[in-house]
Amino acid sequence: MKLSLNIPKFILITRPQGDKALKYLEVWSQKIIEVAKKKGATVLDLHGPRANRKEMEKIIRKKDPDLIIINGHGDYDSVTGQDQEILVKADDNPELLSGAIVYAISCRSAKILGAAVASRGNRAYIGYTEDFVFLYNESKIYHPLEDEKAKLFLEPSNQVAISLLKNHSALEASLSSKQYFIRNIQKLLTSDNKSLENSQFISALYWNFKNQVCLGNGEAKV
Amino acid sequence: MSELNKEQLADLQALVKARVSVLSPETGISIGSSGPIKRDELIAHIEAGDEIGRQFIAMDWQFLQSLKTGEIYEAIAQYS
Repeated sequence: MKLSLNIPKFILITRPQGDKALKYLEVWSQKIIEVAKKKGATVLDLHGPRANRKEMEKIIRKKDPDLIIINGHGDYDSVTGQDQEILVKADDNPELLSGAIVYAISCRSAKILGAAVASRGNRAYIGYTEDFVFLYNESKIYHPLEDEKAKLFLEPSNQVAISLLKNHSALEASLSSKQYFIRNIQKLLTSDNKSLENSQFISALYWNFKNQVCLGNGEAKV
Repeated sequence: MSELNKEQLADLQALVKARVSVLSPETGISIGSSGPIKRDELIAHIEAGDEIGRQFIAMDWQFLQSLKTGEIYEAIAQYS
């Protein structure tokens, strides 16, 4: 059991590089890193080629992070890192994640991997049971933080980690993120902007809202 | 979605294709683990009825159903 002592916390984050979707996750995760540093946490940043299984296993065993944020592609039973190397797989090494609260910004992984992780230990796994979908503007690929389309999706997603860093429980963090998805749906519904695209954005926001789950100990805190 | 017959699936496919067509051509869509795609590529996936196309249709189906049943408004009331 982790004690809530006033000591520096370790936050591990994977930020593989590759396609444009990973680029967006990599850059938008900088906002989480900024909040973590402001809160006095030590950020263990597995960026680019460092987002590999060997490095991840080594750091988790050495530092025992309180929060693990995984960016990357995934499937029902796994999450991946750089070059789509499998980092954690349900029938292989789920115990690697079971000592921390996990937020996986990754497709589908909550369904099998998340359940396997959450059934071990007393921490929590927040993730998506189906594809995490987001839309973005191709013309903003070199400036992802200025992309208003992507912002609709990635701010609510980031809210999970930011809420956890503000000492909210896993379940509260997930609810806060879900509220953010709904808030953005409301904004689009009530906006003067009559763009035909809005309906498709709402569809994807609602999908992410429905598929985000908090598994395991919802009262767990970082 | 599995309860739909062939004709209903074809109608849904056409509806989703029409909805995607209103996205600007420079819209990128991240769905699934095969990397992001552009609008016209997504339309091709929907027409082909492959995994990416089916996933996107499933997403839109859930949304359209939530409009019909009012579930999305219940969610807004509950979470706002």
